[in-house]
Amino acid sequence: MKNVNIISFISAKGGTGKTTSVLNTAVALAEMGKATLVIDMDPMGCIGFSLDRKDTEWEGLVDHFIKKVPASDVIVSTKIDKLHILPRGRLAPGDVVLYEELLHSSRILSNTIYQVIDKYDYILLDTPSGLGMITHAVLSTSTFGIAVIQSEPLCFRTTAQVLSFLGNVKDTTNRALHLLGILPTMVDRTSQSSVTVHNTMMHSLPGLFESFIPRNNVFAEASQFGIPVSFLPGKRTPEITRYSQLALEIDSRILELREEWVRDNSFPTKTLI
Amino acid sequence: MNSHSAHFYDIDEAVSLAKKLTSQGKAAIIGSDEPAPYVEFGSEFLKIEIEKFKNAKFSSDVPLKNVSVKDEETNTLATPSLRHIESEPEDFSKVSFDSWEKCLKWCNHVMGSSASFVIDSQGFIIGNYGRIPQEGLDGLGAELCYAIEMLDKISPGTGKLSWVDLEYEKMRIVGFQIPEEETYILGFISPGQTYFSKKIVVSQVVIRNLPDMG
Repeated sequence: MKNVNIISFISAKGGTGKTTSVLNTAVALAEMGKATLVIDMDPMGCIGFSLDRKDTEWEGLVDHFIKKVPASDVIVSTKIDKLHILPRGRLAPGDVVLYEELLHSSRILSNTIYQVIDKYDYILLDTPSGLGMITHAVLSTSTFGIAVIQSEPLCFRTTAQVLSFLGNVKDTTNRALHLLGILPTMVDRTSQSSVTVHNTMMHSLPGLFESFIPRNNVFAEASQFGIPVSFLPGKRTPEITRYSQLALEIDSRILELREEWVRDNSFPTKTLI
Repeated sequence: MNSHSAHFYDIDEAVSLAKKLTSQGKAAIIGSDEPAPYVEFGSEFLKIEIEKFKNAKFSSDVPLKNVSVKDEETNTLATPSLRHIESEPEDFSKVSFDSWEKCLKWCNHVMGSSASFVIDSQGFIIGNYGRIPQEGLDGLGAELCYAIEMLDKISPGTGKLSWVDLEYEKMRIVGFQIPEEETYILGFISPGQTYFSKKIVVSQVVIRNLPDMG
């Protein structure tokens, strides 16, 4: 079986840009030729909303779980060959609690991922904000976690919570889980506090990605049209190419880690006599 | 940090966690000896909550029929998966036992199972605890032993099978094959919903205590 990289994007605070990051990173990875699946784990169905879809337009995970629709039947193909999306599905708002309990108390998510795992190089999971049952279930199934930290003081102060949560899942549930990195988002060069937070992160936090996502109108525009930023018409600005840089960094960081793990697990040369 | 740094009261904690979780901290072990800065749901809190729970009356409180260990105690338990947590120790590194009986009792509490049992390498049940099914465990033990032996062959070269989770229409059975030279299999009937997060703890504690169990 090939090495599939299952990456969950998590944050304690809402509105940090997780969904935008998942979607645009997935687009960038697919454009690099990596077969990529995005799974929308957020009960709010943010991936669908980001692509300007109605709440009940797409069948998805929930239909697969409850109505036993095969996972492959609810995976949505996109105009990028290598990019597929597994939407949340038609979850009734009143059933969100049951959905959370189901994911947390069973291995249903792992079982779904195992059904399609061979088709992909990357599986990116978009989680709801907070460190609750779904985030726990998603991390329990992932090989890597990315902590998405908005570059502003309040979100920055949640960093220890997020890392501690990830460490706890690794310690008690999923030994294979690894922190891939910390992604600074919404870095606002016009705001002193945002710049200060970003500088502090750069100087103190190990594992911080060199790539960062700026606060910029292109993301709002892309959201308005329901497309990834790289699909916006017009000139290629540095903001539009941010996620391509991040995708390259993710890919090379994983390659390094996997080489490191192989080295750690290889046997030394021995002589019999 | 200089005065231009963002005010962050627990940056040292975040830096230390980030080091542990990335390759920079490969040598460090998460959950080291340093005291955790967070308040945790410890056994005292659980004891209080479960006492409240035990004292409440439930419509499902009916006497049980087939009970193998401590009849009086188990007879009063209508919802074992919750009430069994009461003596869960806070520090797993200090848990020790010198007999299968104590081991099963502890495992049953931690896993929130309705019953637990242990099978030797021949498939014989050598101990059990909790609410045993009407039909007994003998057939179940032997079949579980055989099934794990067969499942071990599915993926040669990937190591010994350690955990299996069997979901039936009316019951769940979880098996843990202790990865030691002398094979024992621990079985859990209908473990609690959060048992999955306890697997590593149960594995570690049982393996550590195995040499002391007669």
